[in-house]
This record gives sequence, C-alpha cells and structure tokens, in this order.
Amino acid sequence: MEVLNTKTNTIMPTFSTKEEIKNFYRERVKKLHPDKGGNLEEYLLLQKWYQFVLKEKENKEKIKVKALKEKQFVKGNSFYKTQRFSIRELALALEKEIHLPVKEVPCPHCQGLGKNRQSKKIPCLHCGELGILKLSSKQGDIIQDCPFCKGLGYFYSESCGYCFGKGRIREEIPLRIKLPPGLGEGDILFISGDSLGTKWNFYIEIEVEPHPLWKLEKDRIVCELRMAFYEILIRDFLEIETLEGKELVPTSLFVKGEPVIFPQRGPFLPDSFWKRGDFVIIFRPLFPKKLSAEAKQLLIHFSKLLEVDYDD
Amino acid sequence: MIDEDILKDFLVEAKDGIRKMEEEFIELERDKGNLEILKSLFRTMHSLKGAAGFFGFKSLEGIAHFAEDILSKLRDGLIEVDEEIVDILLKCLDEIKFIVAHIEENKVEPIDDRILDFLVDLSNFNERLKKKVQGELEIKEGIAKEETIVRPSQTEKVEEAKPQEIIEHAIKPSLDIQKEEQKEELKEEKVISAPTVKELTETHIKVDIKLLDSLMNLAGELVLARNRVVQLANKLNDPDLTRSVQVLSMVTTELQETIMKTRMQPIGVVFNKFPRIVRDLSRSLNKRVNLHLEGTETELDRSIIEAIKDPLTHLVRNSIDHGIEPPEIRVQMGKPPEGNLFLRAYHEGGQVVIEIEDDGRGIDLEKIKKKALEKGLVSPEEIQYLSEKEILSFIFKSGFSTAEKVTQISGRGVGMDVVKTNIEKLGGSIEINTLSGKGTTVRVKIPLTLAIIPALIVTSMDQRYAIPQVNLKEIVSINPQKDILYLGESQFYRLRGEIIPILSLSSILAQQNTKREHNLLILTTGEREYGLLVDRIYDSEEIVVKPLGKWFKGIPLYSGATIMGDGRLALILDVVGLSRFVGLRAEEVERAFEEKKLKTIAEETQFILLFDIEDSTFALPLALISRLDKVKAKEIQIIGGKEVFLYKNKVIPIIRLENYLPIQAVSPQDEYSVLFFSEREKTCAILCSRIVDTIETSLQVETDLYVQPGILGHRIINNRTVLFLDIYKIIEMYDPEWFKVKRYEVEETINILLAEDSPFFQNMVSNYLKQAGFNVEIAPNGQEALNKLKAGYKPDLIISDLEMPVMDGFEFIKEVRNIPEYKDIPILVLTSLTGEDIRKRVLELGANGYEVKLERERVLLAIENFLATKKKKVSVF
Repeated sequence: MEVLNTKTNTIMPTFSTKEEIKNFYRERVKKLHPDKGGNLEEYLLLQKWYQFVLKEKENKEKIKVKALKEKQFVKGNSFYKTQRFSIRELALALEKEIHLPVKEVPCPHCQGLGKNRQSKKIPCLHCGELGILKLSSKQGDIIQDCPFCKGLGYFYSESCGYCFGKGRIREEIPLRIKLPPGLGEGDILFISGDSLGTKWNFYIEIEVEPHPLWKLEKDRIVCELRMAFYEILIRDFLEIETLEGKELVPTSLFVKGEPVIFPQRGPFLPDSFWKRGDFVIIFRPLFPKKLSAEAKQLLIHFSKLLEVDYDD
Repeated sequence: MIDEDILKDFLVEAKDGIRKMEEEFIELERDKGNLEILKSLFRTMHSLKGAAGFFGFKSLEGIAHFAEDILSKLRDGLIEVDEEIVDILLKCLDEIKFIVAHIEENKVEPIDDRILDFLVDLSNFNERLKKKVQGELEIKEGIAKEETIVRPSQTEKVEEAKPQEIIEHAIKPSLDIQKEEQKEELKEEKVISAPTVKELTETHIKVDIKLLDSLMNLAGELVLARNRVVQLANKLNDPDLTRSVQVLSMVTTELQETIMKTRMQPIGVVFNKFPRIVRDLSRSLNKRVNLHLEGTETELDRSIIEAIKDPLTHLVRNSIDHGIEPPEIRVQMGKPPEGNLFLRAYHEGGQVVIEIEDDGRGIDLEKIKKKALEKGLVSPEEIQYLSEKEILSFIFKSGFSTAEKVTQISGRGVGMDVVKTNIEKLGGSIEINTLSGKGTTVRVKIPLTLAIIPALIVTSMDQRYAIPQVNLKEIVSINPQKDILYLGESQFYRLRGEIIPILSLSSILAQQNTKREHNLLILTTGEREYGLLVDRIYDSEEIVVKPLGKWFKGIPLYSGATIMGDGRLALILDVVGLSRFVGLRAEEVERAFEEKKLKTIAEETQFILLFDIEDSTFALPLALISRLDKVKAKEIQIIGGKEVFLYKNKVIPIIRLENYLPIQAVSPQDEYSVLFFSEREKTCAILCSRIVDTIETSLQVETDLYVQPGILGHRIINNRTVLFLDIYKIIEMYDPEWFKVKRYEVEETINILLAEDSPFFQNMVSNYLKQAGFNVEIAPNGQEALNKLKAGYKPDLIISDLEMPVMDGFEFIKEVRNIPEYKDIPILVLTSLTGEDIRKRVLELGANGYEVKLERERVLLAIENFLATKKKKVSVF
C-alpha cells in the first residue's frame, strides 16, 4: 500500500520492515527539520506519516500466530473454526488472509436496538405511547423520556433476527497472518486476543485443501503421477508442479521405477525457516483395462523391435 | 507448553496409580498367582504409559512400557511370578515415583544417567524373559510345524526394534555374558541410589461429595452462630471480647469461602470439550460450524457441572444436526456458508444462565404442530389458540422428534425430554426462542444455590428483610416529600438524569405508608433497574439461605428466609419478583387507556408540547418529536458555517427558529433544551429556552392573525398566545434538500384532493404534499369534497380525514364509491383515530389505505404505492 501525501503530492514509498521505515525517516528528517532550514509544514506531515506507518506496522507485527500440536486452552472466551489451507500455503508458511470476528459493533440491522424494526409495535403502556413522562413533584413538573420504552412510545414485538436481541454483533474483519512453518492437518493456529485488542482468543484448526496430485505428509510432500505407462518412453520431459512452480523433469529419472526425491524442496520443518523436507514424486503407471487385438499385436511387435538390455 | 491444568490432572492420576500399584505389589508377593491383581496392575501401568507418551515424557514412558510388557507376560501365564521379577517391577515403580516427583517440581523429566542405565538394564532383562518364553514355547510345541516357530521369532524382531527406539541414547547391544555382569554391577548401584528416591508429596486427595456437603452445612451453622455471637458482643461492648469476636468473624468468613471454593469449578471444564465434538460432528455432516465460547470462567458448583454435561452435549448436537444448514443452503439463503454456534455462560440475578445459540434455520412451528396433532398431544381445535411458547414446549414431550430421518446424532425422540428433566432436577429451567430462518437460542437457567450469600438487612414497619447484595447497585438517601416524582399513583426518582421507577416496600406489603421511608435502594434484576423505598438500613451480613415453607412458596416477593443473629427470622426479598410491581398498575393502565379511547372517539385530540423561545411560546404535536434532551452551550460548535453538536456519536445540526421567524433570539444560556426531529436516518434539533408543558388538546387554531411561512396558526392556551409551528416548513427553510424525496414521474402532475377540517392539519399536510411535488386541492369537509368531485374535478388520489363536520369521512367514502366514475380513485384515510376496528371499517367501506396523520414519511410512501399500482393497472388494460 502506498501512502499518498496529499499536501505535497508525493508518494511515500512502502517498506517491508520497521528498520527500513526508520531509516527512511531519519534520512528525510535531516532535510526537512526546520532547524536545517526545512519547511515546517512538510516536516510535521512527515512526523504524522511516520507515526501512522510505524503504528500500522506494529499492529501488523503484533498479530502473533502460534501453532499448537495439542489442544491447549487458554482461559477466557474462545472462538474456534476450521479453515482450509492449500498445501502450498502450509508448506511454504505463506501469508494468508483470514476473517475473524474481532470487533464488536452495534448490530447494523437494528442499529443496536436489539429489536426487529419491521415487527409489530406494541404500545408502551407506561407513557401511553407518548415516549415521555410528565412527572409532577413539589418543585414543578418535569418532562423526561419514558424509561420503559426509552422514549419510543412503543415496543417492537420481535427481537432482531440478526443479533438475537443483543444489539451488538462481532464483525468479521480480514487479518493477514503469517503461517508458522511445519503445519499439517488437524494442527491448530492460536491467535491470542491480546495481540488483537479483544478479549477473545482464536483457535483455527487446519484443514488441508485436497490437491489433485499432492499429499502433505509429516515432513514431505508426495506427488503421485498417474500416467499411461508409455508416457515415460515417449516423452523426454514431464511437466510437474512443484512448490516453486511448474518444472520440466527429465523422464529418465523415472525409468528405475523408484520415487524421485527433490531434497529440501518440500515443506518447511516445524520451528525453522531454513530447513525443508523433501518433495517426492512417485510415478504410478496406468495400464489400459482392455486391449484391442490390434493394439496387442502392435505391442508384441513393439516388444520384439525393442532390443533393450533390461539388466542394469 | 503444556497446559498446567492437564498436567496437574496427570500428576494426580499418576500418583493415584502409583499408590494403588504399591499396594497391589505387596499383595502380589503374598499371593503370587492372583490373576485379578496382575490384570489390575497391567491396566494401571498401561494407562500410565499412555499418559506419559501423551506428554512426551520419554523415560517414564519407556519404564512403564517395559513394566507393562513384563506384566502382560505374567498375566498371560507365559512366565511365573518370582522374586526377581517382583524385584525389578518394584524398582520400576521406584523410578516412576522419582520421575513423577521431579516432574511435579520442575515440569520436566529428570535427565539422569542412572535412569538411562536402568532402562538399558530393563530392556536386557525383558529380552532375557522373552528368550525364556520362546524357549518354553519351543519345548511345549516340540517339533511341530516349522512355521509356528518362525512366527514368534518374527514378532520378536519387531518388538526388538522397539526398545531401541524408546531408549533414545541407544547403547550398543552387549553380549549375554556381559549382560549378567553388568546387571550385577547395576544391582549394587541401585541399592545405593534407591534411598534418593523421594517420597511423593500428596497434593490432591479424593473426597466424598457428601462429606463436602456436610462441611458446607456446618459452615452455614457456624455462620449463624457467629452472627449471634457478634450481636451479643456488640451488646456487652467489651473491647477484649469485641476484638476476639472480630477475629472469629473473619476466620468464619474465610472458612466458609474456602469450603465454597472446594466445590466451585469454571464452566470452561465442560465448554472446552465442545470444540472437538463440534468439529467431528460438523465434519461428519458436511457442515461448517464456527464455535464461540463465552464466559468460560463462570463458576458453578461441581456437581452441577457434572450434571449439565450431557444435556449440554445433547443441545449442541441438536443445534448442529437440526439447526445449522449445510453450506449450500446457507449460501442460497444469503447467509455465510459457515454456521455459528455460541455457548455462553453468565450470572444473572443469582442464577447462572447458559445459552446455546445457533444461526441456523430455526424451529419450524408448523412441523411441530403437525407432529403434535399426529401424536394426539393436542386437538385441532385447541392448537389454534396455543402461543408460540406453548407450541415449542411440545419439543420436551417424550418421544417427540420432528427430524425427517433418524440420524446417529439426533432425532431418536429421546433427548429433549431427558434434557428437560435433568435440568429441572437441578432446580433449573429451560427456555427456547426461535426465529424461523434466523436461528434458535436455548437458554438454560440454573440456580447457583449458594447457601450463604451476602445481603443487606433493611426494615419496613420494624420488620426485617434481607436483600441479596448482588442485586443492589446503590443506596440513596432522599427526601420523600421533595424528591419523588409522580405520574398518577406511580412514583419515580431522577437519578443523575435517568428516570427510575420506584416502589415503596411498605405499600407493596399492603401496610400503611409510614412516610418514614427515606432510604432508596437502587436494585437491578439484570434487565432493568428500579428503586425500593425502605424505612431503615442496617448492616450488610452474610446470611444462610433457608428454603421457604409451602405456605410462602407461592408468593413472588420472597425467595427464602434466614435466621438472624438474635434468633429471629427475616425474609429474603426476591428482587426479580418485586420488579413485577414496577410501573403503572395494570388497572391504572387500563383505565388510562379507556379514557383515552373515549376521548379520541369524541374529539380529535393530540398531545402537544409547549416550549419557549425567549418570550414566545410555541406548540408542536408531540408525535413529531423524536426525542427531548438538553445540550450544554459549550458543546455547540460551528462547523462549516452550521451550528452542530455531538449526540450519541452523531453530528446533529441545530436550527434556531429566530433565523426564520420574526421573534426574539434565544439569549445565551449554560444549557439549552433541544427537540429532535428524525426522518429517514436524518436528525436535526431545534434549540429552545425551555420546555413548558405537554397538554392534550384538539388542534383547533386561528389562522388569520399570524400569516407567516413556518407558522400554522395560533391559539390561546393558559392565557398565553401559543404559536403552532410548521416544522416541515422550518426544516425546509433551513435546508431545502432535507426532505427531498426522489420521485420517478416528475413530468406528470398529480392532483390530490384533501378533505380535512382542521386548519392546522390542512396546512401541514398540504405543505408537505406540495413539498413532495403534488398539486393539492383542499376541501374543509366531506360534503365540500364531494361537491368538488361532482363539479368535475378528477384527482389522482383522495386523502380524507374521518372526523369532519357536515359530512364525516365514513359517509364521504361511501358516497364516492357510489359514483361509478370515481369508484377507482384510490382513497387514503388520514386520521388521528386509531384502532383496528376503525381501520377495518374504513377498508370495508372501500378506502384503499389508512394512515395516522403525523406519520409524514409513511403517508408519502403510501401515496407513492397507490400511484405506482394505479399506473400498473393502466398499463395492463
């Protein structure tokens, strides 16, 4: 996100770390400080921008995500959900946007009233539908909003169906979180409420989104290639999707019939951002269920043509 | 990071198991062939192994594993119990004890070479046993089939691999001869190290709940006795005695609180089981459910927690199975694909409320009705008169299930009735609220049954009453003659600007009002606050709640009784029960309503609000004002050339009437009264010097004297000239865009005939119709309006009042509908007469709509609707 400085019409660059922001600020402040002959207005704007950006960065960094291998409970209110993550996201511990009900806001459907504003109105008998009470005392009359119907003069007969009469709902807001490395099916992400400024703790159980070829195993990814048996012989290369993208793999690697291992190309191992597991490709040849007489003939012919020494 | 609580549970269980095993080993030495003991030992060791594995205590798991292995062989009769085996098993137990003690202290396993050595030792011993077993088998089976011999050796290989795995620091396999030597050495070492094994300190013991119950009762009696001693001591006024009594008092309180704590547990213990249940269930049903847990720290009596576990589980299962829809259906209904399930616990007025709420499809009342009829629970005649609550209560009948198919999860028709009986057994209640298509809330209320509660002692007519401290918010000393506000018979008190209804305890108890009541207790039921006037206030005391006898049970005023320090009785007031007396008495309300009805039939009247701007008095119908309040002068700001102030997080523009009317301006005050007007989310406020009064009056005004935009007319009220404001005109003058309504067919002019006798309404209604872009023709009564029609005037819409001289609205509608060429013109009745019967009558006569006069927005909306339908009709034919 780029921050537009509206006054000076300059666009502030974006930074990925706090250090970068600080360095940029230090450089600029040297030029803009009024003591150094800078423009006061611009200097103040820089200050404002610096505080804003720094705070935003801090807020982002404050969201601490922790992986739990066992169910552990922190005291207090909790929120649980299962969320699907792709194998790529989990393996590379990427950033992901998730929606969590963090903020408590007045219910937008009833404006915090807790009642269905479309429902039938029941007259308030206390103030006789006036919404106000005229009370007499020794010092003269006082006119006040009716405390029973809160000055409306009536009650709504039904509760708001959106907030169930509470008048408040918890609004889901998008959060960008960085996944910890080494997560798998059934693991739980824990985000403490303190880091989000709410009294709710969040537990997100990981569900692995099925991938057509990949399987996420403990510390490796197994890619199962199902292909007609002759493909390896016909083609020189196979296009295989790895974590890094599509890749051409020479078919000669598969002729031995053993799994092909790309070491250190699999998922990050737990608690480390420098060690990765393996990416394993297993070739599963497919054979036709039925073979026409002609095809069979051709195959026999083909096998005779082939003068290969199978012995390695 | 291991959860402290779970670890604690583990340690308690482990120590329990160790103690049990110790006893059993001693028993085993005496009775070597006892299979029952062997089985029990095996089970205990097995669960210890499992738990240790769960926590990742590797050496503990290892030792337990070998011990279990040996025990299993003993159990299966493969080897005989002998001294050596018992010896090594006891050693295992010693080591286990040592490790557990270390874990308790340091939360981690000890890292000790001695333990590793022992593990190696154990592993070797185990292997030797295995060989022995194998040898025996060989002898037994002789030269039977070869395959059978292969099998055990194969399995052995597998098992062989295991010990190596468990001993992480695997030590190279040694020869058999070496083993023997090593063992001898180790044995000696063990003798030395054994004394260092610490005795396990007991941190938990199991206590019979009954024992705790009787402790609780005794504490209650002690509190009573203490209260009595305190009172006696106060009488004697001996400083020494007073001091020791104070200590006694403090200790008693602490004792009682501690005993109480032994039984209290946070409800989180139960709640925390639900994430798993919800997850598994939603998976198996292909639903997506988010679970919200709220108030997990709410404490409840342990026995209650145990008892509600199953009912809660059932309710949660119901919510997921019947309530929350599959994701596809939710999306179709415009809901997010993920359902939400809330589990909520909180205290409310001495009770604990547990809510199970889902945002699913709700309960289908029609289905329940059908089922109830099918089952013959109710007759078709009766069912029409049942309320929603009564229909929902069928769910709790046994054998009642509306699930279309019986699933594994719910729908077997046993359940809700059991849930209800279980909760009622605890003295609780269950209540269902459902909104079709929106969700269901099940609310379970359970009494805290706190036998001892702090309470405030008050008197009324020299009788003592106790009021639970939880319900008490504050105490105000008032002057009954000055501070009480009256509305008819009802009393109110203004507390920091809020009006709070108040009750007099003596009058509720049907005693004579003593006029001595000058202490006001502000009580809260959790839902509302009210005041209670009492004569005198005494100390706050801890009282022991005793249930009421059957003669008192039906009285809503009392929730129990207690014995005071002097041995006399005091009744405990039920704050929720008392709140029923708050507000106007039912008869009073009815009377007021009757009166009002009579009046409206006789004469069209309105409540009007009178207010001053300096020396001019103005009037406005109360129904037009959305709110009254005050604003401090310093809160008014000028922003963008407009005067505004902040009110409930909204910026409200201020309109000063003196800018639009030739009147004296409001002189500067510290605080002004403001009248709020709201329409379609927009709010503005009129500033005035003070609010004078509200009166109920007809809206007859003189229109000739003050001809001025913004003024509808004047009238003399209480010897003062009161100007009736045209608030819509004023707001329009302030901001012409304020009420602008977008209309589609601006090109064609629409004529409206307005039959209305009151000049006030004539002006007001025609003003706002004109603002909205209509042409308006006014007729002062039905006859005149009819004449206009007969003369050939053809309006697009007729708006008619009902109460009019010469020819009233009813007659007029009838006449119009009798003229063939006018029978299709829509007629909107605009009246201040309210009531279903009148509405019905005018619609029967042939009117198309019925609106209340002051609802400008709705009137305009109704007109739009009529014109739109009319246009549609034209285009069809």
